[in-house]
Amino acid sequence: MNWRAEITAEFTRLGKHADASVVEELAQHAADAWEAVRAEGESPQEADARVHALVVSLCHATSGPRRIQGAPVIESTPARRAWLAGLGLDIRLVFRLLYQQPGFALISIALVALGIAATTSIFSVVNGVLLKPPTWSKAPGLVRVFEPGSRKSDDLPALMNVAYHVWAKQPETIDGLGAWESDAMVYDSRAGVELVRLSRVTASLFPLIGASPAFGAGFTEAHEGTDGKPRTIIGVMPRGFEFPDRNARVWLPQRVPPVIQSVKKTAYGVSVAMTFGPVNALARLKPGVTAEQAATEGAARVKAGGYPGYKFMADKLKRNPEAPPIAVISMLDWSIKEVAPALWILLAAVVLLLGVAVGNVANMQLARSTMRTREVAIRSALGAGGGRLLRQLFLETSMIAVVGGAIGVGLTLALLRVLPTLMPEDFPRVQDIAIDGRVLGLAAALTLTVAVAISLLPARLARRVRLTSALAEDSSGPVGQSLRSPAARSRTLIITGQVAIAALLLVGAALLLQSFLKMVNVERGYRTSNLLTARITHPATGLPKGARAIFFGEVLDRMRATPGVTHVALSIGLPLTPARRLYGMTAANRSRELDSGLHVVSADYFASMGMRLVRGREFTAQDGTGSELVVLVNETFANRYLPGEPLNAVLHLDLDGGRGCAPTKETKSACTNPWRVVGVVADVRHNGTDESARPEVFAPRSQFREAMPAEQYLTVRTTADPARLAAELRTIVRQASATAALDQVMTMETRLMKSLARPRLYAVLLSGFATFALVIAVIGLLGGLSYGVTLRTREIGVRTALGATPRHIVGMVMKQGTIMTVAGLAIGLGVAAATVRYLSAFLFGVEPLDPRTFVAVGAALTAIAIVACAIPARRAARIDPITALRH
Amino acid sequence: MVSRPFSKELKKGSADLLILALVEDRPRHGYEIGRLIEQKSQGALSYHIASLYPTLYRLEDEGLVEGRWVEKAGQRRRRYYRLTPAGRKRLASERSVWQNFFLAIDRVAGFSKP
Repeated sequence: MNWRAEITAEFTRLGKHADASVVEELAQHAADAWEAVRAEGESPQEADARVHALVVSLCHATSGPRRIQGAPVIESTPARRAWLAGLGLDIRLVFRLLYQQPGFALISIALVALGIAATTSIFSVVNGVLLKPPTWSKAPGLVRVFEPGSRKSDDLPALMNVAYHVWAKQPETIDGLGAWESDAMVYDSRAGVELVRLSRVTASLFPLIGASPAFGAGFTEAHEGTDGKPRTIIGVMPRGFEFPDRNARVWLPQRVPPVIQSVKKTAYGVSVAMTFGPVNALARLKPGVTAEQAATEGAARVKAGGYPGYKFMADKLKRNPEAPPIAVISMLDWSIKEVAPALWILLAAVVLLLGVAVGNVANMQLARSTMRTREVAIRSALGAGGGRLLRQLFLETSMIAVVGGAIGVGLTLALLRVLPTLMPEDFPRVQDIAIDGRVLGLAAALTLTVAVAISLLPARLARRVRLTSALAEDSSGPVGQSLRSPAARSRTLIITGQVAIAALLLVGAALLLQSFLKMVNVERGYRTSNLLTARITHPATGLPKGARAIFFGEVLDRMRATPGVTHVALSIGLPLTPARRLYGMTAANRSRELDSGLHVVSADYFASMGMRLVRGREFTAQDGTGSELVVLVNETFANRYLPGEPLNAVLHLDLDGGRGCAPTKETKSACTNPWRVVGVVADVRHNGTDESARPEVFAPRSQFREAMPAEQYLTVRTTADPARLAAELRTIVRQASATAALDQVMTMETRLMKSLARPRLYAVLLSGFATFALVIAVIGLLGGLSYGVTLRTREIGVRTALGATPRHIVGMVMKQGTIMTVAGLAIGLGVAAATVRYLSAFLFGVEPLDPRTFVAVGAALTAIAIVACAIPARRAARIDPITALRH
Repeated sequence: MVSRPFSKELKKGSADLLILALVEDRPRHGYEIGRLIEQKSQGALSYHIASLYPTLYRLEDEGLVEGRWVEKAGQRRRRYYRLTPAGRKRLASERSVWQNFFLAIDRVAGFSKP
């Protein structure tokens, strides 16, 4: 009904003039009255008739223009854009509420910030190391190519030059092959002698990986094979070019040695000199080609074209003359294969941690919203719709989430600044870790998820608020209601989940920590204390023959004469440095190829390392170039290859260049010399994380005729702090040679800790996450129970008044806490048992399902939980029934 | 005792008093005022609704109440009336007049006697 028109008509009929505002006011009165009549149950027609009568009387009585007109007041945003209406008001309200409860706001924001910072940081590591394409190459499809059975002397799998040349000739599945070798040179700068890491690469390599110099030119094949001549710098690689690793500063051209070196006619016929050597090789897959297809082609090529070479080599090495399979693995996967599983595990752990933190915030928000039931009820009674209430709630939580998320990203930024110093030196791609769009996207997504997660529960519960009961003066429900309410159930579930996650993380952390401690304390076969180590590189270019031996002799003598030094020795390798492997060894009957590590050492090596001689003797001064060739072996070698009596067994070893043996009909394929075993030493764990020792052979440097290798490791056994001798060592090396470079000067303990840096990082991080989760879970338990006690104050008062003893009350609260703890523990330990196998690759000396660990975590968590429950329980027991009932 | 003129005066004065009292605590709109008078007096006071607006306008002209259009989200705008300081004074004096009147009646008729 258009009352305005009707009123205007009535006024006209009466011959009166009325202002529009009067007409409007009366029309509204009419509309209200009509609603009221309808509300009494009358028909619309009846309502029309009654209101019409009212209108007539109103118009009859009212008259005249209005003199006073106050300006209209707009109380809030107009109804248009209703979904935005009052947003500013709501935001102000959020700030006011958070300001009134700064503790709640601060703790929530801190929890969210820490959770998001931890997650974002780990994710930026995962992103930088595992997900981003490498910065040094834009070329897709780069793969590492190797023969699983062949290894270079530094123990990395490699491709034999036979296979390289056969496949590099018109390959089908790949664009080409490239090879490289890491090396070092001594750079004699004005500032002093410096060791510069370099990489020798084939001319084909840079084009393959899509790298080109920032200025200057790349290599051509003409550059290859220019070894030993002065070199000209022809190009400069761009900043950030890191191949094969970030240590490389110089790149030299090098060719892969051809298999056939020379063909000579001799009296017996044609003599062919052949070379076999392993190289690091990579290839670029043609578009659409898989690694498997390339591997198949490679193997087929080698089988077809390289077989004669392999047969020849197999004769020499007493190997099975089968052509080897070829393995093809993406370069990226190769470089990260060791860290990838650990990073994924850490990411999973940190997401769980975020879950625990958010659980606490949700619980706090839940408690807060329960306490605010009355406020919510009043607001809805005043006409706030469900949507408006939800918006208000969501604004509050998103305020917490957004502020927390922003602080979290800030923390991540700060953390990433110092991260390279915290990460182990050998961690791949540390320089690629940065905050990029993907990391920020994740942070934003996490923030939104957190906002939704912490508003979801309270929102769900807010909708169930019953106005009448919430507004009633006494809103306390019947006894036990606070335990059965949806809010209480959610609270219990969250706390149980938190305990479960804490238990899961604690199991993982405990296992990693134990492994790390076992790695540190395991019997290594040598004494790490009071041992100084260093690497000395002596280039000896342009010096007379034998100068290197004289130099190293002088260093040894002068170090030995230094006060506080008991033994000094040189060796071609140390534990925790890349292992050297020995080829061409057979036992006395030459029937069996031996696979062993090799150490060429000076006489005092065993004493300086603190290794234990099990049988026989060590090297002595009498073991010289002219005397009988002798070696020592370790226990594993003796057990595996020399069962029975290892002493005086004779090994045929391709050592010392075969001591110049002339190739006769008999020895042309295996130019070896007999070396007699004179002693057995206790096993030494070569790597930090080796489960078992490997066979090893020790040969005395004093018996070698060939020139000493440029690179030697020095070991100095001291009576006092070995680090103090570092300066002395530097002086001695500098005085002995102006061109020798000294690096890796560190105690054996430092070397060990460096080698254990990754396991330590994993253990420390996971322990940190687990501790954090534990603290949050305990706070959650404590807070949840305390809050439950507060809600039940009245009930507890009633119980006490009815004769419940403090013991009953304590038991009641403890029971509630214990149920949550036990359920959480059962779930957490169960999930841990099911998933702990993913950790097994990182464990050392401890089983994944180590029962002691599981029991200890369970017991520790239970004990902590009991303490946490005892506090609210005691408070509950002390509730004064009079006070409780009065309120 | 009660003559016609008194009754008329009484009635007019009572209408003013009722309206002023109703908007004393919070602003109200016309329909609400009319409804409350009906409700609270439970029909005992024969009040003709047609005179509501003339009375309101008169009180407004006298500066005892102030009417303003107020808009709220999702609602039609309504004209709310609230008590002015002058209106508050008038309400107090009207109250005391009626108080005295009741006391006088009481003294004569002895309502308060048990």
